[in-house]
Amino acid sequence: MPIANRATDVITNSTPLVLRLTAGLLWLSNVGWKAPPNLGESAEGCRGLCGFVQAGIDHPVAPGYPWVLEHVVRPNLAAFGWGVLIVEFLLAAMLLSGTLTRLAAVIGFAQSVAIGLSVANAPGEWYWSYALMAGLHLALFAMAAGRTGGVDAILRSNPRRPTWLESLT
Amino acid sequence: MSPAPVPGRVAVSVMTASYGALVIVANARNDIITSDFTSDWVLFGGGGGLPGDFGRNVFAGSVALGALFLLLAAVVWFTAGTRVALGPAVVAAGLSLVLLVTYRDSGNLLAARPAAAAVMLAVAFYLGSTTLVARPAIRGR
Repeated sequence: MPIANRATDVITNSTPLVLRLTAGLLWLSNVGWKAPPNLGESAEGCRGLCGFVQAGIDHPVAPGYPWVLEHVVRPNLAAFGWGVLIVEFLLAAMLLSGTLTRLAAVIGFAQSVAIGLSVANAPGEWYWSYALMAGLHLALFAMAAGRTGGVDAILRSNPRRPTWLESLT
Repeated sequence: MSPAPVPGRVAVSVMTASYGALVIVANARNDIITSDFTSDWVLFGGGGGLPGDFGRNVFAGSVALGALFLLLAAVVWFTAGTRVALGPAVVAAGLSLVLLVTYRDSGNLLAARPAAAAVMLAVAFYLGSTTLVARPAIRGR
């Protein structure tokens, strides 16, 4: 086989793994600043996750979404914050290991859209960041990226795997 | 016990050990066993962005936490692909959840942040999945 073809094969085969690890590192490096118990809320003001929620209220992206942030999320910041922390923690672990990657890709897509709808118009934000994040997870879903060098490949090696596992990996 | 021929055993073991080594080095000026997050970094002490912010978020912890990852790497090396791996996988997953729920902005067990807990859970997922290779079929169908 010519070297160019072999190089193309290597790139094609390794791309799902590289993109999956990139997404995993993205969540891994950002999960830590949603720190309980206050999640950025203090007598001095609102920072961290609280600050991002406030930014979503002050700089609307989509009609109705700021209302949700102000009347549903903000009063229940502790529950919301723990939810975000757990979701992003699981996303990092699932994407880094390639476990149930298609499920993780769907959750990551939804989370990217939710973050984008919150802060895409906030000062200092680049709205394309969130479109690219959503696109990355869409690609992971389309490529079933856990089947390359991931736990999903091990799970799928069993010929008697259940149907639900087939769908999520 | 001889290592089982399971895909990724060497890679996951080496990556886990490398992660542990970096946690140890980066947090070498922190106490060995502590709940306090360090601000005196050996690595990643620079400004924002790369590598500073990224390193501080991903490799935060303590010497003891790094050593725990070295131990986990050894467990992966010796047990991945055997039925024995299920026990350590469950313990690692449980410990990662404990590290997550005890996380506070004021500190945590072994100064672990959620990133370290997520890496531990990822290794646990791998270790647990390799026990399926050692079994004839997936249960629960």
